[in-house]
Order: sequence, then C-alpha cells, then structure tokens
Amino acid sequence: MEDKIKQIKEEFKEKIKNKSLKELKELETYFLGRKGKVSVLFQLFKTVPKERRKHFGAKINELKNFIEKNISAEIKRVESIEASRKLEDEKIDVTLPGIKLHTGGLHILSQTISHAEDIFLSMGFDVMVGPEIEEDYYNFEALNIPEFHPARAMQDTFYLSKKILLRTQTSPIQVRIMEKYKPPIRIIAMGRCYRKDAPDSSHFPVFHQIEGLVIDKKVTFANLKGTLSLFAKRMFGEAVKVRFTPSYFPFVEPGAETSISCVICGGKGCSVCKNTGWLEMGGSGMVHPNVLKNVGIDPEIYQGFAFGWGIERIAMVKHKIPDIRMFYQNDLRFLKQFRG
Amino acid sequence: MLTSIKMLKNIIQFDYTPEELGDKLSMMGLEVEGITRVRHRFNGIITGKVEAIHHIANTNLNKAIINMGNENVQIITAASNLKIGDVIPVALPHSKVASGADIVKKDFKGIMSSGMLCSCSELGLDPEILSSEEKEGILIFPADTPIGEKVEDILPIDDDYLELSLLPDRADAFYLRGVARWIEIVKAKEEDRRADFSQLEEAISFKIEGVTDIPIIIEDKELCSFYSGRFIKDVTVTTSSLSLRQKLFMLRMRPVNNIVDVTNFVLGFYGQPLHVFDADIIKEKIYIRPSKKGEKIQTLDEIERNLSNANLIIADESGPIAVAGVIGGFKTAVTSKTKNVLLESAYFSPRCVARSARSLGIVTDASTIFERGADPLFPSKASIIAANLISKEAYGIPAKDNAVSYITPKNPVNLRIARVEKILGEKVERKNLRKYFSFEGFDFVEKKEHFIVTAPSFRADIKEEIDLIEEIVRMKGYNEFGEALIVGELKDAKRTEYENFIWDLKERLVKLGLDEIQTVSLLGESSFDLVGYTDKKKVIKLLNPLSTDMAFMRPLLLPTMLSVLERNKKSENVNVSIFEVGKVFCKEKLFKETDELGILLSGARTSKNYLGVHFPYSLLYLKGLFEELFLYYDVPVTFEAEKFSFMHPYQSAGIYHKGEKIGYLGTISTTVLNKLGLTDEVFYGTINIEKLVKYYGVEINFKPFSLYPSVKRDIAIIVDEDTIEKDVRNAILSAVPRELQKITLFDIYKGSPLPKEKKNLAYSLEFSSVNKTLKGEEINKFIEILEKTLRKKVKGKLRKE
Repeated sequence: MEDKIKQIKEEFKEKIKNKSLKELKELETYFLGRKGKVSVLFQLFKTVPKERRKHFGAKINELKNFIEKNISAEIKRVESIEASRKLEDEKIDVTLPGIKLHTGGLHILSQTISHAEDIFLSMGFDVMVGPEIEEDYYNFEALNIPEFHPARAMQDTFYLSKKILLRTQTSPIQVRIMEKYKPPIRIIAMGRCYRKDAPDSSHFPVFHQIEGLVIDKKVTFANLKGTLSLFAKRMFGEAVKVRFTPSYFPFVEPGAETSISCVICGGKGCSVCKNTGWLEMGGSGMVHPNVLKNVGIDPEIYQGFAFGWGIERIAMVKHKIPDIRMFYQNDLRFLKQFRG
Repeated sequence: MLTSIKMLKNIIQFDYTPEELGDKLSMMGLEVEGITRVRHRFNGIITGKVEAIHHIANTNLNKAIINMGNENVQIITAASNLKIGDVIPVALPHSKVASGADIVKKDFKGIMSSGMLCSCSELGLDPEILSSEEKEGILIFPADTPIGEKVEDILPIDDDYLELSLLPDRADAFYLRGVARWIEIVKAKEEDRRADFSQLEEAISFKIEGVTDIPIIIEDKELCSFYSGRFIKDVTVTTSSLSLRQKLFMLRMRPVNNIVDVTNFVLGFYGQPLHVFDADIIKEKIYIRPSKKGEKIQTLDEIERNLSNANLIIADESGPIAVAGVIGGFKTAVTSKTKNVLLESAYFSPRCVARSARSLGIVTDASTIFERGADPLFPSKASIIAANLISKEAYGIPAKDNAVSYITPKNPVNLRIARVEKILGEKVERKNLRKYFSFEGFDFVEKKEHFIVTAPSFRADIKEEIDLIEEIVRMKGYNEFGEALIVGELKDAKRTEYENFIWDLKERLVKLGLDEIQTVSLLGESSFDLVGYTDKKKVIKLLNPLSTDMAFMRPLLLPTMLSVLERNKKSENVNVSIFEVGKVFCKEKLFKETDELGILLSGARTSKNYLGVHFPYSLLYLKGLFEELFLYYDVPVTFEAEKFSFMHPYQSAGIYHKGEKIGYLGTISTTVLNKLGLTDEVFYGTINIEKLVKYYGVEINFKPFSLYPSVKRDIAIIVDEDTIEKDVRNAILSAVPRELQKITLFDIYKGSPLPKEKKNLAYSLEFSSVNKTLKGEEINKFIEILEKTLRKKVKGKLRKE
C-alpha cells in the first residue's frame, strides 16, 4: 500500500509535465475522478487491517490534496498561457489601411456661396434670390440700359422671346428688391447667370454671381470701398488689398472695376495676374440716379452702392483652379479635393 | 482696338513707356488691356521698280528686270500681278525673309535669278490690314514710293499698340485723336495745368470752286441734327499715296481706293464717320428720312437688305442710297469710273444709329462711333479736312458745302458742391474741383454753392451731375479715396426661409453620403433622344443658342446628370452617388422654373477592400435615401409602380404626396445605358422640392417613449407571390394598435417547402407601452386580430412555428 501511494505520486509528478489544458482536465479525471487512481486507493483501503487504516487514510488524503493542489495550480498556469496565446493569434496589423467610408460633400461653388453669404450676413446683409428667366425690363431697361444701348452688346444675351431672356447678371434682383422694399436696403443676391460666351478656360455660358446692394441716406463711395475691402479680407485673407479702377456699367456711376492683390504672388507679379499684381473680380459703383428713379426712389434723398462679383472667379482665385469648365464637369477627382 | 503709339507720338509728345501709358490711361477710364508689340522679322529687303517683264517660253515663269536705284537686277518669278512701273519689295541675295530663310542666287535652267520678289507673307504682314490685292501676289507699293529704300522704313511695321477695350460710353477709345486727348489730360494733371486740345487741331486752307447745289432735306432733326453735302468734281480714283497708305497702316485700316481711304482715315484719326457717293448717280435731291416698309437697299457688301422704319436712310428721288451712320449703298458707291463725288459729313443720334444697326444685324466702324456719341460740332470741320485730302490724293476740286444744321449748343451741367461729399463720403476742396475740371479742359462758372460746367462737345459722356462726380473721382484717383464701413441701424440679417430650406436639404443629402454636383442648365436635342423625352411642346428653346447642344432649357435633371456619370466612369470613378439641386424649366402659359432634386447612384457604397465588404447600390438603396429624406421632413408619401420611357419597366415608381405626383425613381433602362456605353446599373430618382418646403422648419415637440421593456415577436406571413409588400404592411398596421412601435421586414422567401406562386414575408414586430409592461396574453390577442385581418385583406396566412 505504501508503495502504491508512492507510485501514484511519482506517476502524477511525471504526467503533469507539459500538458495542455485539455490534457490536464483528463489527468484530473484520471487521478481524482470517480474511477480514478486515487478513488481506487480508497477502495483498496477496505482491505487494509483496521489498525493501519488511520495511518493509510491520512496518507491517501495527503496524496489527494497534493494532486488537487498541483493540478489546479497547473490548470491556472496553462489557462493564462493559452489566453495570452489566443490574444496573440488575434493580432491585427495596425498598419493595414482602414476601410474607406464614403462621405458626401457640397460642390465647391456651394461652399463658396455659403462662405460669401456668411460673411455678408455678419455685416447685416439679407440674402435674396430672383428668377433666372427674366424680363428685359429688369435685366436691362430698369438698370439704365435702354433698348439699343451699346452696353447690351457687351453681354451677349440668350433670348427666349422678344422681351424674355436668361438673366445675364444678378443685377435685376436689385430692381426687384427696390420695387418691393423701402430703403434702408442692405442685401446680397446669389445665383446663376447666362451669357452667350463660347466656353474656354475663363468663360462659360453658365456662371454664378454675387450681387450686393445698399441703399440708405448716407451710403457713400467710401462705404463701397470699405465693404468690398472687408469682404475680400474675410474671403481671401487679411493681407489682401482691393483696388478700384475706372470702368463703365450703365447702372452705376462712378463705376469701377474691382481687383484684389494677387493671392498667388502677393502682388509681385506672376503668370496668373499677367504680371500686374492684381486680379479682376467684378464691377461695382454708386447706384445711378436713373436706376433709383426707375423704381420710384428719390435720388435726392437716397443713394447707395452696388457690386457684382463672379462666384466661379472667387473660387478659382481662392483655390487656384485653372479652368472654369471644371466646375461643370463634376469629375469626382475635382469635387473631392475641396473637402466636398 | 489697337492704337498705334508711333502715330500718337506724331501728334502729341510724351516720354512714357507703353506700359506706363497703358496704366495712366486705365486709371483715367480708358481701359488698356495690354500692349501689342510688332517688329519686322525680315532683313535687307529693299524697294525696287519693275523695268521690264519677259515671259520664259514653255514655263509659267517670268524674267523681271528690277531697278534697285543704283543697279538693275534680273529676278525669275512666278508672280502674275506685275506691271512695268510697279514698286515692289525685293529680297536680294544675302537678305532674310520673315520666316528666317536666307535668299541666295538661283539658277533656273541656265537663267540666273538674283533674289526674290516678296508677297505679304515673306514680309510677315498681318493680312487683316491689307487690301485684297495686297494679300495676293507680290505686294505693290503706292506709285510714289521711293526705290532703293528699306521696306521697314517704307511701311511703319515696327510699332507698339495699346489694346483698348471699347466701353459703351467711350467713343474716344475708337479714334486716334480721342486717345491723344486723354494723353493730354494725363499730362495736364501731371503738370498741374489746364488741358489744351488745340495742338491736336490743324489749320487747313484750300481752294474751293463753286457751290453744292443739291437740295438737302432732313425730315426729323431729332435723328439727324446736322448734314453736310459737298461736291468734289473731277476726281481720279486710284490707289492712295504712300503717305496716306502709311497712315492707314498705323490705323490698321484696309486700303480700298484714294477716296474711300480718305474717309476711313478721317474716321480712324478724327473720329468722324464720312460717306462718299458717286455724285453722277444721285437723282436730284438728298433726303434724310426714316425708311418705309418695303424699301430695300443693296449695301456696299453687295447684300440686299430689307429696310424698316427702324432705319434712318439717305435717299434720293429713286429711293435709299445709304443707311445713315451704318453703311453705304452699292449703287452709288465710288468706283474706278467715278468722276464727281458727293462727300457726306453728318451727326446722327446715337439711339437712331444703334437701332438701325441692330435691326440689320451689322456693326461698322461708323455705327460704333455714332452709337457711342460722336462730336456733334465736328462734321463741318471734318468735311473740310476730307475735301482737302481728296483734292490732294485724287486731284478733285471741292465746292462749298451745302449744310443743314439744327445743332444747339451743349447744355451746361450743374454740380452742387455738397453733393460731391454726400456721394463720395469725403469732402473735395473747391480749389481741387477747379483743378480737376481744368485738367479735362472743361469750362466752368463758379457760384456760391455750385459749379456750372460745360464739357467740350466731343465729351458725349458728360450729361448730368453724377457724370461730373465720376470725373472728380477719375481726376483725384479712384484709390485716393478712403474706406469706411457702413453706418446704420443694427438689423436682423437673414436668408429667406426658402434659401434656408435649400441649404438644410443639401446638408441632409451630404449626410446621407451623396456628393453635390452642378450641371449646365442648357442641353441639346440629343439629350431628349437619349432619354426618350417626348413632351417637347413644353420645352423652352433659346431663340439664339450658342450651339445645338445647348439650345434648350433643361426640363429634367437626368440628361446632364447622366453625362456627369459618364465622364466619371471614363475617369475610373466607378462608385458614383451624386445629387443636384437645380432649376428645371418648362413653358406652360408662361415660362416656368421649378427647383428639383435629382439623385443618381451607380457602383457601390464602399470601394473594393481586403475585407470583402461590398455594399452595391440598388433601387431599394435609392428608395431608402428618399425615405430618409421624407422621414426627416416628416412628409407623408407613397411609392406606386409606374413606367417611364428611360426606366426599367418593372423597376420604377412614382412618388406621391397626398395624391399628387411629386417625383419618381427607378433603374435606368439598359437601352439608355447602352447608348452611353455604360455597363453598371444606374439608379435615378427626382422630386420637386418646392412641395417639401412647407414641412421645413416645423417645430419638433417631444414625444414620450416607453420606459418599460418592449416585447418582440417575429411573424411569418404566406401570401401570393404577386401581392405587393405595401398591402401586407398596411394590413399589419391596420390590425395592430399603437403599441406596435416598430415593424421590420427581415426576410423574403420563395420556394420549397412553400407551394409555387407563394412567398413568405417575415417581420419582426416590437411592442411597447408608455405606461406598463405588456403581457404575453395581450400580444397574443394582437396576433389573433392580425391573423384575421391578413386573411381578409391580403389572403395571407400566418405561419405557426
């Protein structure tokens, strides 16, 4: 009996070495299960003489405890090893590229319009719209461009009928607003315009304009300059300067072409600004008294300024876009560049 | 418009570089867009005179003997336009033509040729400014051209030109003296003195003989306030002298004959359009009158034109002989046979000429100047200048003119001093106002509170007070005025509600993963063919389209959106999910513009990736996008199966809002895709967004949600295969109470063990109540009712587990 106990202990010590979790569980049954080696000892126990029973009982219990303790310790140890091995197996190469999510975006023209609107809203301008199909009266006549005026030839117009056309500028909105509201008026208006220009890198028969109109008792040429200067700084950066050169638009006088200092060369002269240091942005000026008279506003009491800049032009200058046609081609490789 | 700096320097002295001059004029309002430099590129080409021409037998060649001044040379030429006595450009051996080629002696089958006779291309001349004779064959110089001279000294080729833009208020940019006057203003300002334009005038005295006795009748003095006719007899019509040819060359005008060249010179140099008639063809009297309906005229370009009362005409007893201020008539034109001429110099009203030119659809140099405003006081002087030149060039003898004048002196303009500050926001000193007006050569009378200003007669742009204020800004300098921000009441600035809606809509679509595009709102016939669009009566056609592919206003967004797809597929952008919010147009009683949204999908939501996760777009994905949108604005809509010419007949639906159709969606038909060469499926949907706007901005009120656990129950319903899902869903909704919080279709099954022509729809129903935990029996009761309803409404059977 003594030998048997010793023998089991030795066998256990030998078998527990380098076992997997599953083998350990089997080993546990092999030794401690109902028909296990230790249980069998308890059965043999009956054959032992009474006086020796106490001694052997203690011995067998000792063996059982020894096996129990060692096997559970080993299970714990192997379990933790296997857990960490499993984690290792689940290793992900974190340098793999993430899965690309498709997100939507606004067209760069919308982004530019939204930006411009926000700047003018902060200056207290209302944002207005008007129709793209316009009457000759609003697009020309009310703007001091009567029939046969040479200025009509400057803007090659698409006609739908004798008196109905596609607006060539957002300025007709000025007239509509002045007919509807009394001064003080401080608005901008955005929208699509149409001109019979053959497409090239800087012309397209469809384009967008931003129109501004301010009418009040004391709105001056200095205010026009101040307003456009501030807008240009907000849109293109603090360093940008605005320059006014004489020009002619029948609905404003004094009329000016407005340019900003070249954002590419900073005004030193480069190919984009044709070495002038300036980039033309659009027309502006003091609202002509005839325009005010046409809408029933007394030019002796009220006066104001107006301007019209091209949205595509603003976006092209701001983002260094080389060709106006790209806006309407909508190649995703173009659109997606502008966080669109 | 190109203006010769060489010619400007002939009449006014200045030391500015062309760029400096351009900048200075631009800041005065004469817009200079750039400088064109022209330099001769040939070398050693000399004038010579043809002494003899011998044909070389059995060839198309001639042997010409050319007198070079100090020697005669023999040159073989194929030219056929040579005459004995012609002065021509000769490239002798060792010279170089404009193309850079060197000229050498050549042997033509034993006959030596010592050089080459030159045409305009060997000289590198712009054919635009040459006569038709000069363009073809050897260039022939005016008969009085000296021989043995360098060609670059004969023709003023080497020159710099100002590129002037022709603003509608500036007639003066169009003629040389007009530009010279602005240079005088620039100088006057720099030298702080009054402008003096008298140096630009020249005194002329010449011999006249007799009077012009043809009667002149002006019918409407508003349209024509001055008309002068002058007989010039015994003219010899030929080519102009070298001196006049040189002037026309610098004015970039094409020579015609000595008479027409004189009138063109006076126009290009002095800004006065003139006309010359063959006096022997004119019948009795000259009338200046509006044309009558039915009258016709063959104009100088030999085109017969119908006239109307929009045209002011010059007529004789036989009918129209010229369109006033626009173009002359062919019948009375000066030809080589003309002996006596009548020279016209007149002032026609700008509006009258503009209307007339527009109605005929022609623009001429004369109409361009008249419609911008010529100098009403100059015609009389111009007639003298022209008569003098014609007498020199064509040896004619001018008579005293017969002039009818209704010219009234130009009205002075009042400038209120206070008004200047009010408009400009800055006080301009009286002494400065005096200076500014002097710089421009204006006359003025100074009063206590205002100036009375009279501008020279050629300043058609000075009509009212605001014009003078603009002159003040020009003279002081646009950039010499300060900047100031607007002062006014603080007000609530906003976008219109509609614009807010548009932005909100676009943002929502972007959140749904779509890219915004903007396409051209014009399209062509082929777009209609592509999508089988037939409702053409409603389509708006442009009266004057730029091209056939942009001749109509788009009645739907699809065609231009498809071209965007096509372009992107070509550039390997395979996954396209785009939307456009834009106007579509139609013609009902009036022209109508409507805002629409179009969504177009093709490819998949995710690009190919190493996980194998792929999410292809489908019709139901597109429908899901629209449903999301309608849910967002809380708009009730239904989708009804419907067919469209460009959609798959069984994969398309109309979208209805309260019984009204507001849009549609579907799978684009393969017929359309084949035409575009597209292979992937394409899904398109569109709605009229104006129907949505009233749902925008509705305040959202909190709705209580259940704090009790919800109960889920999955049900399976067997229905006929062609039963539409909407009916099944509606049946479920009608049967179960508001405790049904959510209904999700999670499986559709056809096939064994189901009988043929049956399908199984599996739904997950989620019930909850805001005030209690629902018990199993209550749910069972719902299901019992549901079972009956399904049987009754869709012949459906609930499948028991």
